[in-house]
Amino acid sequence: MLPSSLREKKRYLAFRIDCEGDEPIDRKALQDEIYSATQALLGDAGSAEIGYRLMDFDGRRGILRVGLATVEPARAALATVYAIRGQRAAIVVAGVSGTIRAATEKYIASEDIRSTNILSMQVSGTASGIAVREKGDEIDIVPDDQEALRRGHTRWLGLASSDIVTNQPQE
Amino acid sequence: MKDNARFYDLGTHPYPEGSGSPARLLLAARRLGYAGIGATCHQEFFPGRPERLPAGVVPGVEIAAANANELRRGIDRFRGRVRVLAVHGGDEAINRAACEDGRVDVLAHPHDGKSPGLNHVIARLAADHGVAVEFSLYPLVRYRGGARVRALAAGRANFALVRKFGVPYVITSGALSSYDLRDVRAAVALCRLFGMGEADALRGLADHPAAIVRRGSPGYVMEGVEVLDRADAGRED
Repeated sequence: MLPSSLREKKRYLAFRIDCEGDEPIDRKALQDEIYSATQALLGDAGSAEIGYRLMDFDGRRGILRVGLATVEPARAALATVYAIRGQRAAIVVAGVSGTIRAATEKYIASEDIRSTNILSMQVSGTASGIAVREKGDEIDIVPDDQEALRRGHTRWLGLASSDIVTNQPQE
Repeated sequence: MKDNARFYDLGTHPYPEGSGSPARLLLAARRLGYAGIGATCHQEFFPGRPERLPAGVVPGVEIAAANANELRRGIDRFRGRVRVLAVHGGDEAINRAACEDGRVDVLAHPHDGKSPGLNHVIARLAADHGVAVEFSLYPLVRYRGGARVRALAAGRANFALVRKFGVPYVITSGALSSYDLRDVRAAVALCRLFGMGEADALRGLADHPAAIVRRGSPGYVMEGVEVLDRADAGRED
């Protein structure tokens, strides 16, 4: 092993994945998607220069190691991932640090995982349909109008809680 | 990054065109570092009656026209109803007609297939009339291979003209759902791929779009002249 003074300097990207599904993302699936996106954008030489290494990943959030000088190309390559195993997803880099510990403490530890409720409820408002999923202020529905899903390449129509009109029975 | 910077993504296509509501896109955009978004659905999705949009979503439209006359009619129809008026670019005659009309805010994706869509004449017109040129991240994120190579080449050629002639420009996601949005840092990194520096990219995400939003706000008279709240104005007398 090289002495630490001769090793290449690294940066650690703390990231999270925003995705449509509820199941944890498979580590291998994420790696494949990152490698192929980077390969398509930057080629073999660019991929080798970045030298990705997935240090930690819990199915939603993780730490990715890249070369010090390649943080920007890595950000660009990660931004071109738009689906993981056919499911819509985006990789969001929360922050960059010089050590794993700093990246974890500053950008990951404080964030708590929000719970997801599975619903099956008729809703109306901005759009009408069957609500299937609720997470904080986010509500995903199966809309009556399915054309929008085809144009947007998503499985569900994404709404916010403010889009829903609740019809409380009036006394 | 400046904490007080006001970033806007003025090119999104929410529901009914795309599959995320304006409120949902805004929710996601705020989490990614933006102050607001522009909802610029294509004209066929424009609501018949005025809809209530959440604060932070700037109402807009993207007009697609077959020729300059049709474009002018579209601008007449929508200018009074939106704050961001974009023109669906691509055809060089349309690009030129859009840049000749000061009522147009944004020339969206001027490149089409092989040609970058801008030239020195159109760029000068855009600068004179204050029409912003859009650099969309959508093709960079979604396309692979030849189509993306052409988009990057067009971005490079167009940014060189934009810089030379001092044309305003905006960087947009072209998002149809919240999964198409990209955070500010990622947008900067993607723009670097076609020769935009960090400072240039931040201007395209903050200064230029903010100027368009300000221009469309009620009370705006002209650059530097704005009617403030009546209560404030009355105190002077």
